[in-house]
Amino acid sequence: MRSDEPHIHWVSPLPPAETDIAHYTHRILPELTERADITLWTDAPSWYPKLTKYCPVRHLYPGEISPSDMRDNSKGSAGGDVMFVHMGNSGIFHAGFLKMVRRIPTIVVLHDLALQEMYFYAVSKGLMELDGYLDEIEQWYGEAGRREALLSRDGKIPAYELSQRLPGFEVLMKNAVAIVTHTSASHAAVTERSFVPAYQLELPYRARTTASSERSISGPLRLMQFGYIGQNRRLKEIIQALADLGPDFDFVFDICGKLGDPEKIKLHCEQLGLTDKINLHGFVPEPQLDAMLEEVHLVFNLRNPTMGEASGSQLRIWDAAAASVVTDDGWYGDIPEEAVFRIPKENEVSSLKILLRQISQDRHAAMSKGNKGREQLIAKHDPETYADGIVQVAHNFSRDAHDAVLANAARRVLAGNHAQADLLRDRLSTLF
Amino acid sequence: MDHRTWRFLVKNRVKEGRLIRIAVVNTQVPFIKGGAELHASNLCAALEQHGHDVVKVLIPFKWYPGSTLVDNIMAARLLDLSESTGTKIDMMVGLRFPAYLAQHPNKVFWIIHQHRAAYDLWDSGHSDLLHQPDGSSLRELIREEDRNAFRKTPYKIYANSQNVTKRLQKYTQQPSTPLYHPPPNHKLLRQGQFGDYLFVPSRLTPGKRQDLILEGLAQTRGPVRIVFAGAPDTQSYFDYLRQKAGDLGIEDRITWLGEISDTELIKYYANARAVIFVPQDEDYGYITLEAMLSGKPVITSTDSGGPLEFIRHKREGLVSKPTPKDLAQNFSHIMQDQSLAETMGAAAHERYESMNINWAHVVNTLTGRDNG
Repeated sequence: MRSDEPHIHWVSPLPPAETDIAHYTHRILPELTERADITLWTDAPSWYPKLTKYCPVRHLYPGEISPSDMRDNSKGSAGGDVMFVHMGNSGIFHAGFLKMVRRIPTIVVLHDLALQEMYFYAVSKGLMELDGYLDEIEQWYGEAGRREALLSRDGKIPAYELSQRLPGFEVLMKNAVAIVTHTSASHAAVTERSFVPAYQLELPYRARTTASSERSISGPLRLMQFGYIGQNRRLKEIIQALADLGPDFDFVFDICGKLGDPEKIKLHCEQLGLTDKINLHGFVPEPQLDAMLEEVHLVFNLRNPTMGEASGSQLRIWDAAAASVVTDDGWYGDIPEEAVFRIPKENEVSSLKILLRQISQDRHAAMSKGNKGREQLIAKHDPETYADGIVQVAHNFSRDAHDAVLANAARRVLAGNHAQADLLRDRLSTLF
Repeated sequence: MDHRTWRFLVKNRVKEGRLIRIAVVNTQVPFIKGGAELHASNLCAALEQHGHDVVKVLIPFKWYPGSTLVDNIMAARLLDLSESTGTKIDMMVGLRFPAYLAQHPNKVFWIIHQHRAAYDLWDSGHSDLLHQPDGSSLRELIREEDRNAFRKTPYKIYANSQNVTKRLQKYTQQPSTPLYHPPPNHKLLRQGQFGDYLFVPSRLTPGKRQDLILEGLAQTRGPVRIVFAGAPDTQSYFDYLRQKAGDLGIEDRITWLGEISDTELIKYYANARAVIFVPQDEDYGYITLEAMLSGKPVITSTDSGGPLEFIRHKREGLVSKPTPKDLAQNFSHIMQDQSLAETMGAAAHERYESMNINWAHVVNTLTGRDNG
């Protein structure tokens, strides 16, 4: 590594945290550490000790950390210290980081545009002032937005509904030097705001050396869903579709992960007479999960609604060369046709029934999708390309930080008049 | 008019002995007087002596909090010094950040120093930016502003010392040429007796490390006496030094002169046994040159920066490790051996004379007469 390479401070949930962002960080560490000087930071009390074989891991105090804590006394700093902070919608994993990104100018890696649940969690834990949150929501969404946010915070509008109209990612832009996203939809949303530089990188996944899309051609159809399974994963609709296909439709449906309301789902299965065909596993170890994916004929990976974010789960499915069905929206809408099955947001139950019948009659069609999906993974999501992209963003930090500081100064000078501030920023960019 | 045309016309006017209008642009921290301020004033005087019409433009500078630092940078950057009352200003000489960011189509950099908090002080852990949440961004802002400014000039960039040249190269990969200049009283400084005191002429400020000198004095054996001259930057630092001297039991071996006149300064230089100058990574340091012109050896330190460009161990002075013990040995050594002090003092004077350190060379270099 050259002496003027930037030192990258990677602020992220880390394994064993049960979030795909932790796995993502773990996955790309070999490539990242080959290309840059990396220090991992997290506010969790512990992490897998094996991470330290790649680079140092340090505990983060988001409300206190300053550049002096990040400086490496043993090295020169010609390349500077660049902080990448990973933000998602889980308050448990990201509310602490929120406090940090509001204090320190950083590069924010936006894993989700819809962040209202995380903000409410942060407010409830005293990591963000309610008034500050509402002021910023008002800045981006007007007084009506402020009223809606307040209603939602008081439980009168579900947070996920609020997120559909007011995703809230803009709050993270205020102090950001740049934003990294993983989908074209997210990238477009950020660039539309014209507030900070935005970079798009394809979410990385290390493909295993070999994987086969071959699946059993007899016996019950093996179906699966996994991950954090909230309302937008459409589990209820999936179960309804399976019930509608009747008792003769031969299948086994394995559900791995965390359900929003498992008791309700169990009751629903009982009422529809599907208890014997649907297995609730809870979280399973990753090797077991991968082994199950290698046998499955179809994975349900629906997102309705979606804010356009990329899915680490989808990459895992492709890695196993498994077929999957997704919602025709957001990032999933951009995936090549041959790599997934797609259903529209409307009439999900009937669309699923048609698809399930089709696969039960022609399992090879599903295997073909699995094969193409794996090709897509290898072509577009390799960690080396991603790590190169991160290093390039880090190299741009000096220039981006320069512009961000001046833009913020312009906004400060013209506080309260953002349109004028943007004009001034444009003027400044020509001068500076 | 582009840079080259502008420069060509200015050089021709200089060669023809015609007057050119020059703005010497420097940063001024209000109420602070030190080497950099003298540097700017003496440059103006030298340019005037060479027949040019000169104005000194001082831009006030405050670097805290971070938002004020940014405002000051923007203010400097927005200044247009290309003309005044409809008359062209032919040339700008930029000396210090952020003043040297002002706009001029014929800008020559003669850098006293960059904003060190973004460079070497960051690395050494002494930068105030390290303790500000937005410190990293501010550091990058400063570095980008420097890079952009240097990139825009088609001319050689001059630094006031080899030490500053090395920093420019190390931190911004910017080549530059050291251009030495004489200290303020260079024509008046004289050689005198080798007296019974070591002289420390400097502002009283942490960067000059008077506290280290006190600790060294406390470890000396034999009669070593030190005379300090210079105003304190802050009363609290002066109180701290006096308290330290008291705690070390060396008050009766110290004289605090405070700020003294040039006449007195010259006298104290002339009659000292040697001059002590142990700053932390000094950019240039008039004190070294003033001591050399006074025919005195200099006791300096291995991490003092600028002085090391002139002082070699046991030739023009003594170079100590920055430790009380090592300094104490050298203080005692030079007080016990007057002959050594005289030999090294003469060598220091001779070396100064051999280095072409004069204002004519500086003026001709900056205005283009000496550099093609």
